[in-house]
Amino acid sequence: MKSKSGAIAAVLPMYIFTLAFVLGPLIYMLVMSFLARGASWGITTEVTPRNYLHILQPAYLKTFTQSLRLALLTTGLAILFGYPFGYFMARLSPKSRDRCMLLLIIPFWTNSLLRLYGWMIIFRANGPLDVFLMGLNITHAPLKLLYTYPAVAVGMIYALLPFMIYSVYASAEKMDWSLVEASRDLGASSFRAFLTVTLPLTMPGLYSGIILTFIPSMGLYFIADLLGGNKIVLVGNLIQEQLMRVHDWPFAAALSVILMLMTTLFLFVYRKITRAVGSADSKLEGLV
Amino acid sequence: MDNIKKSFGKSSVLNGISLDAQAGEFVTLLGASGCGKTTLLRIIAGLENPDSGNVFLDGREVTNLEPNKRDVNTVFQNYALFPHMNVENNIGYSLRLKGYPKVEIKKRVSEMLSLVQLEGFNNRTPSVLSGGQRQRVAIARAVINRPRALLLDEPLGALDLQLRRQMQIELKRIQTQLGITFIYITHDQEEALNMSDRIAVMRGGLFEQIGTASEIYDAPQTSYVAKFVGNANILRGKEFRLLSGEAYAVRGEHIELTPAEDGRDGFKAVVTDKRFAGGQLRLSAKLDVNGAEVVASRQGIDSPLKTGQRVLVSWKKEHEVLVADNEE
Repeated sequence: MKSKSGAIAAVLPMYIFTLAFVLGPLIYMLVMSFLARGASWGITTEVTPRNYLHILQPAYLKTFTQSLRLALLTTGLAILFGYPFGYFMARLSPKSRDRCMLLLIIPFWTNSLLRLYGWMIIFRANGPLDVFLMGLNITHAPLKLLYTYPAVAVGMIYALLPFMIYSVYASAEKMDWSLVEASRDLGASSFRAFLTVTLPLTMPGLYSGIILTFIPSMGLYFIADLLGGNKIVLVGNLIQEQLMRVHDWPFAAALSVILMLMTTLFLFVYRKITRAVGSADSKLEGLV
Repeated sequence: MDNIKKSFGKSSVLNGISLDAQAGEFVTLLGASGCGKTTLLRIIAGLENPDSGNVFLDGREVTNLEPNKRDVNTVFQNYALFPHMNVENNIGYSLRLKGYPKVEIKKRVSEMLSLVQLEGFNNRTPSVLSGGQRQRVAIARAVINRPRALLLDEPLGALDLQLRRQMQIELKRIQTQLGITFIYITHDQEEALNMSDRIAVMRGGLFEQIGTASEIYDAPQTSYVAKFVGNANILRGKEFRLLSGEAYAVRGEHIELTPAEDGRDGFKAVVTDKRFAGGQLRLSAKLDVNGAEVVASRQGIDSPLKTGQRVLVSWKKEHEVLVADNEE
C-alpha cells in the first residue's frame, strides 16, 4: 500500500495549480471589484461599494438581461437542433458516423474569428444571403441582417451548437438500443419509447450540452462585437470595453463578479430542476 | 409462420421457413450460431420485417404490424432491463403504458414477483441484481401482460451451468403455470431436450427437422441433426454397406469397445484418445477400414483400455439409425 504522504504528494501539483490559476485570480478579482479606479488607469486602495451600485443603472441592467436572454435563446435553439442531430448521428452506421464527426470537426481547423468574418460577409447587405433570397424572389430588398440581434444569435448558435451535438451524441452512442426494442416490444409506440427510454437515458448528455452552451454564451463577446457591431452589447462586451478601452478595472471586476454569480445561480437552479426531473424519471409519473 | 424469407444485403439468412406452434406449446428453435434463429424470433416479435412470407397469431395476420401492436413479448438475450427504472417499474412498464390504475399495477407486479420468486425486490435497480435475478425480472416483465406467445432468445446463455439447470426447471414451471406458448431459442441441445414439447432444428436458414424431443433424439432424419443433438457418430461409406447420401448415426453410449484379443465381431480399430468430459469418459478410436473416428462414451471416470491399444468396435443393429447424409 502506498503511504499517505505519497498520495498527498501526487495531488499536490493539482492543488498548487488550482490555487495559483483559479482561486488566486478569483480572489484578486473579488478584491479589486471593491476598490476605486486610479486617476488614469490602475487602482487605488480606497475600499468602496461604488462599482456595484454603478451596475444598477438601467443601461447596465439592460445589458445583463439582454445577455441572459440571448444565452437562453442560444441554449434553447442548440437543444432544438443539437439533440436530434446528436441522436441521429449515433444511429448511423459506424462509417457514416465517422464521416459525420469529421464534418463537424473540420470547421475547427479554421480560426473562429475567420469563420465569423465569413458570417459577416454572408449577412452583409447585398451579400450572398441577400443575393440568394432576392434571386429566388423570397425577399425584394436587402435584409440588412448584419449588426442585428438575429445575426448575433445565429453566430452564437453556430459557435456553440457543436458542443451540444457532441454531448448528446456521446450519451446516445453509449445507449443500448435493445432497450428501445424492449420498450416497443412491451407495447410502447416509437414516440412513447423515446419519451420513456431514450430521453431519460440520454439526459446526461443533454445536461452537459446545456452547461457547455449556456456558460460560454454568457461570456462570448467577440461574436456580438463582430456580428452585432456596437448595437448589441452583451456583458462580455461591457467587461472587455471597461477593461481595454475605459481602463476602469474595478468596474470590470465588479461586472465579472456579477456575471459569475449569475452563471452560478443558473447552475444551481438548473441542478435543482434536473435533480427533481431525475427523480421523477425513475418514477416515470410525468412521462408515461 | 409461413414461408418466411429474409436476407441482409447479399447474405440470405432465412430461406423459406414455416412453423405452426400450438397454443400453450413449448417450441424450441435449436441451432448453431448464425443459423438465423434470432432473426426468425425478431420477425415474430415484429422487430424485423421479412422479405416475404407471413406471420400469423391466432389466425390473424401480423406480418407487418408494429411490435407494440402484437400480442407477443420477448425476453432478450441481454435481458434489456431499463437501467433507469427499479424492478417494480421495469415489470410494470407495459401496464403503465396501457394506463392501468396504480393499485392494479402494484398488485399484478407483486403477483409476477412471486411467480419468479423475487418477492421484496420491488425497489432494487437492475444494476444491483445478479444475472439470475435479472433473468427473472426480464421474464416477469415479459409475461405480466399475458401475451399469446413469449419469445425467449437464449435467455440462459449468460448464466453458469448450475443456475442454468435450475432456471430450465423454473421456466418450464412458469410456462405450465401460465399456459403461454413459449418460443425458445437456444444452441444448447440439452436445454432443448429438457424443456421442449417440440424442437425445430435449424441450419442455414432452414428447418432441418421438427419433432418432439424423443423424435429428434432417437430418430434423427439427417446426419446433421444426429450430430448436433446428442453428438452421434456418423458412419458413412461402402464399408458399412451404405449408398452415398446415406449414413448411420450411432450414439456414443451405444458403441462397444472391446480389446482386440477378445475376438468378438466388430471393426478393428486403435484407441487414439481418452478423455473425461461433461461427466462422461470419451474414448476415441480410429477404424482400420476407412480411418473414420468413432467416439464411445461411458459413465465413470476411467476404463481399462489404454491409448494406442488395439480394439474391436461394435454396436447393436437396433442402435444404428439410417439418416440422410447432408454434411460436407
